[in-house]
Amino acid sequence: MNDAELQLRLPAKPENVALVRQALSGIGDVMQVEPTLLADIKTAVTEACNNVVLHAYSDAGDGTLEVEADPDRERVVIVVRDYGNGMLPRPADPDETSPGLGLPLIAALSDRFEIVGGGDRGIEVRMVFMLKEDGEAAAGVNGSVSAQAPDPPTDRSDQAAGVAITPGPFMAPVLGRLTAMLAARADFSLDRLSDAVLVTDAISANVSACIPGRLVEVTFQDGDHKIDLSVGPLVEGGAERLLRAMELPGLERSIEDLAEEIGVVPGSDGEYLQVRLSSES
Amino acid sequence: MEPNRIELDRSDDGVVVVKVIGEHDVYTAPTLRDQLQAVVAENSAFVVDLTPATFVDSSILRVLLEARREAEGEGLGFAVALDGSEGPGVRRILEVTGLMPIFPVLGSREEALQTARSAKAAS
Repeated sequence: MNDAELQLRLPAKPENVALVRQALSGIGDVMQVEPTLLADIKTAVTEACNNVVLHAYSDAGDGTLEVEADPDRERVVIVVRDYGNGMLPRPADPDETSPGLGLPLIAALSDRFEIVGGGDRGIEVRMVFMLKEDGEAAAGVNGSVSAQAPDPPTDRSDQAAGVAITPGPFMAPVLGRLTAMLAARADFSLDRLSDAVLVTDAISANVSACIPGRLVEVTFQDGDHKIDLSVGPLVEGGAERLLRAMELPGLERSIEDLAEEIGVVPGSDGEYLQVRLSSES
Repeated sequence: MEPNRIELDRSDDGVVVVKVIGEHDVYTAPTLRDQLQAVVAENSAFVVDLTPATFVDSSILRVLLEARREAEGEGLGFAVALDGSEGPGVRRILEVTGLMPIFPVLGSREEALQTARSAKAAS
């Protein structure tokens, strides 16, 4: 883990690229990014993610797609990373699903980009998007490719979607959008989808006082008609405190009403609150 | 959230309109490819209407390029429609990749239908 404001870790599957765009929309909403610029960011980041889900691993879904976003007032830096076989975004190949337009699009739509890695240790595509015209010069394409591999290349290829995020303005919009998309995929009704987003909103609003560090990691394990959320690491007693805080006025229904199961499990770095959201009320 | 789907419509004179609705990317590209191949197989001129699209990536552009090639090979009319109400990234990706004149992209479904019809008549 590093200093990025938002870190997404997803199974490298084609259906998960849309989750990355949802997270970017959440950031765009908070930062009031102009719609055409947000569209450029989504397109460039999608192309970098496509390279991971199509080319980085020999079997689809076997590896991890990592995306980090670090927004500030002037720019957004986004890193897309894999730990696969070091396949660079590449030119057209008639037998591939992608038309070889990925790299030119990243180059055209980002203000700066850099591709790091190769060999068998994965690839990192780092893109910079300036939010203000008068920011750092955005003239022309400024890209580079170097051979230093992502560091550290510790692949955690579990099948859950995870986001590590600093509690703050981005957390509720990003988690809400991810939750809504996963709930829709798990066949939640609109009412239950809203309930699921209420739960992640309440977690986002209250978790900052319950964590030992700067970031909190939220993982989503989606299945048939359910989503299992895990939130942590939390300080000792943090899960209980978080649950109590979520009972405060503002939520018309209690967390017990909204969730099918709630549990607390210990981890090596703190305790984790686990919440099962189900499509059935 | 706008549901992502592909719908088929047919004009009075049998030109098929393939409506690409919502977000489409590497995940839905195989579905679009299947739909377009089925249209080519029935020997119809066709229009791909991207106006209801909120997002498309390069995987979708590749499917459209394949469809255009197949249409040309079979002597079928083909055009893309985009009337300005689509998502902001849709026109942009076509412009940045230089594909606007290649498909070609027309400013309304009617114009695209006209182009598809005349290409068919000329073949």
